[in-house]
Amino acid sequence: MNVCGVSAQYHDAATALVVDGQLVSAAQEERFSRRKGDPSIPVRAVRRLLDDAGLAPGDLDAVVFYEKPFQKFFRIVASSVANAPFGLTAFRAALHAWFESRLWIRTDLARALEVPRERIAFSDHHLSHAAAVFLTHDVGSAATLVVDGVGEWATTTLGRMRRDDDGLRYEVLETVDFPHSLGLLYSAITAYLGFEVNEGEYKVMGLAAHGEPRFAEEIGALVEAAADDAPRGTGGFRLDLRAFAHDRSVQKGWSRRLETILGPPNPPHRPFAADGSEDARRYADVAASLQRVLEERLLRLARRARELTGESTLCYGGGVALNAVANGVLARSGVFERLLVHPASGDAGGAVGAALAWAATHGEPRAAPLGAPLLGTTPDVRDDAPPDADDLAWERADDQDALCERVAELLADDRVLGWVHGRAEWGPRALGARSILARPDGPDQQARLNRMVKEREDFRPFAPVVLAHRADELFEGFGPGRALERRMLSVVTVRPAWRERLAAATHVDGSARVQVLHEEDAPLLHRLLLAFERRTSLPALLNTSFNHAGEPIVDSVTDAVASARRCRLDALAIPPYVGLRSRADAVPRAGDTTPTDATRC
Amino acid sequence: MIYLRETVAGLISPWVVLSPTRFARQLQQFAATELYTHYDIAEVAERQPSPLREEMHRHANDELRHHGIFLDWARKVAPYVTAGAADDPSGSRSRLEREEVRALVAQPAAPHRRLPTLFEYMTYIFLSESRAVLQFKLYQWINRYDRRCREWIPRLLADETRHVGYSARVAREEFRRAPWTCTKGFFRVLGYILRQDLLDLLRLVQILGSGLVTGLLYYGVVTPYGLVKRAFGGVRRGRLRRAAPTGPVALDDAFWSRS
Ligand SMILES: [Fe+2]
Ligand SMILES: [Fe+2]
Ligand SMILES: [Fe+2]
Repeated sequence: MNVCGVSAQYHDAATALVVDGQLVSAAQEERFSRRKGDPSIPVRAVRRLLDDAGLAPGDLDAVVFYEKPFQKFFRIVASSVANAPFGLTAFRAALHAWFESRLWIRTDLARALEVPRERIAFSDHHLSHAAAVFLTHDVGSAATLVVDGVGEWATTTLGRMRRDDDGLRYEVLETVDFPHSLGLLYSAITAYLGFEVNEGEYKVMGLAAHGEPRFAEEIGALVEAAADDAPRGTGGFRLDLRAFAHDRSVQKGWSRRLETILGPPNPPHRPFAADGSEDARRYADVAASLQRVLEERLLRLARRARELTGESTLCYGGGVALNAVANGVLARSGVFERLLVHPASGDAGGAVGAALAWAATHGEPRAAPLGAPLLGTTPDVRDDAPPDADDLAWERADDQDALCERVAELLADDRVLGWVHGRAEWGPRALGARSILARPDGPDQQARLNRMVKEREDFRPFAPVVLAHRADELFEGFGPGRALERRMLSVVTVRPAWRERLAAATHVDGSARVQVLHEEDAPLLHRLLLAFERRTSLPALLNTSFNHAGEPIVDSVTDAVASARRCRLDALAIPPYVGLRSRADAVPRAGDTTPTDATRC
Repeated sequence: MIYLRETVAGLISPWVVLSPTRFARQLQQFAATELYTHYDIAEVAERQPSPLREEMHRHANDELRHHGIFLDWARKVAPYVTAGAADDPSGSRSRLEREEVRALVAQPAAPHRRLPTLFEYMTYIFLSESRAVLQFKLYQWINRYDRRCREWIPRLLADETRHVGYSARVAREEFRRAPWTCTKGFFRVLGYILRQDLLDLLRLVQILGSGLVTGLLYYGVVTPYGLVKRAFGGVRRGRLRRAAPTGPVALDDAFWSRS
């Protein structure tokens, strides 16, 4: 059977294709529409995945939407009723959005994807999240924990999943309902700190390392308070709603009470000043406190899940599982022997879960475990002609060894290089298929790259990719089996002896979101790292996603060429080709004195 | 009548100017209008004889300069609103945007469409420019507490006043040549402008109207219902439903078809 999973309408629309019970491909719409976080029905992505699989829309047995829109609508109506007369803005926005598009999703999907209406099915938001983890790993039964902003009603779901030859079994054990939500708490404070919701959560996590959790007690009290009729079990939590407004307003998720507790907010979009001023310190402290509270809450939830199920494996999903720092804490806590996280734990991943869960309940419950999450498209590189870009001088490598040697030579020579090889990554992390690579050492490297490719805040470090057999020598604090670190889903500590040599990839608190590279996950990149190690004795490279500020990660060769030009990368490797920019064009080193205009890309 | 819109816009301008975000958006909008006018006038100028052509090109260049001034201003008021422009110091994107506006102007007219006569065009320019002058003067006067409004608007006003002057002069000259056709032309232009204004007004009514309807629905229906329901302990803000369903989820056909 051919099943297509779809998630759309909020942010990060995505699709996944399951053929005969096996996940064959998955991609986010933004990679094709080139609009970051594109929420629209993923028409382009579906077409592309179907084409690549040699299928037509008529071959699909089901198109499974990742949640139940009407149930969500009823929750929003209930919230409007419960908040009256204080929720006009939320009511108006909801009415508008829902009547304009969201309620007609069945019709819209059928029309946009050219499938009959009766083949459209609807999963459940948290089931999709849980299934995305469970059905992509080799487990027969596990506890599930889903924590996100909100699904239909629930914001947190503790459950259990099992699969046997009859199919998939799912049991919900405990839930926490909207508006009590750890995801929305995180978003509210993200906005309070002046970052954009749905984009800025990573920045809050990065900022946390700069602060002291001196507000942990206050924020903790906001989560704990009013436990009089808390849901069953000690894992349940409630928000002190007097401090929040995410159920009343679309613009502002907090109330004045929060400001009396934490001080005045950072105005939205104001560039963040990491200047050591009183305010900057306070914001970093708030971020650190929030992170601390989140970790404590997640640990409690995990303990509760263990207690309720007795399982030794936890499948953990939902938008909150994008928080790699908290993932590391959970993995190392040992509450569960195995902690499993899907590479796209946000709502994009719901497309995979929805499709796999449908297949599993229709006679195909044995999806193979997902190895390296390379589920996207293959770059359209021709063997007989280099990519079409005359701002680069192209060379063709005779074989893979020659290519790796050449690229390693460029990297050792401190060039910053785009790397496009094989199927694109699934999820927000670049794992060496669409990456920008550079040397990880040098004191100015981080500032140089931040300015050059991302034009982003200086407080955010880049991530290293390290050869698996030397990982323990460089880093400590891996989770069991280093499973999360293999996909950059967790954060570890750089050993002090290596911090200087990994300066650009080490956060202020000595942490790093490492990718542990095994040969079978990306053979060519592995070979490149070996070649680089031979030249420099460094077994790691700096690896960041291949995109310019504000644009989605590149997908095709054309995207890569355009983005390389925008970032003024020194070189672009699209095996078997390597394109070099002449030095005069390239972005100057951090130390060079140049007119400011030339240093931007 | 046709100056009404500018008067209202001028009078409520502090509401815009006092919010950096809103003001920056407004300034970007002004910049876009100036750019469009620039291309439009340059296009028409090409069809005119000298020395009017030079005069019109000078006007077109003024508008391009105004475009730059407004963009600059918007950037200074709220850098975060115009952040897109900061990503693009090479200017390739703004070049592209300009090309788009230019293409819009240069679109071939529908084959049977009658091009406006010089009189009509100049009357149109005169009316639009004088509206701009009125709006800027009101802006300057009402927002004189704002340093940039105080200092920047006069730089624009000098040009705009000159535009009013020369367009009125050319229109007068044309009128003397053919009073009767021009009278008909005058009403045609007036009709065109009023129709545009009416469309703008309708759009505004639509926005306000749907706001009114949701407001009525919310305060007239949802609120009383919510208050009653809360009085009887049905729902509370922190507890939207009595109990969340727990237990095994039947993943059957009914489940998959329920939306
Ligand atoms: Fe979610
Ligand atoms: Fe002007
Ligand atoms: Fe003018």
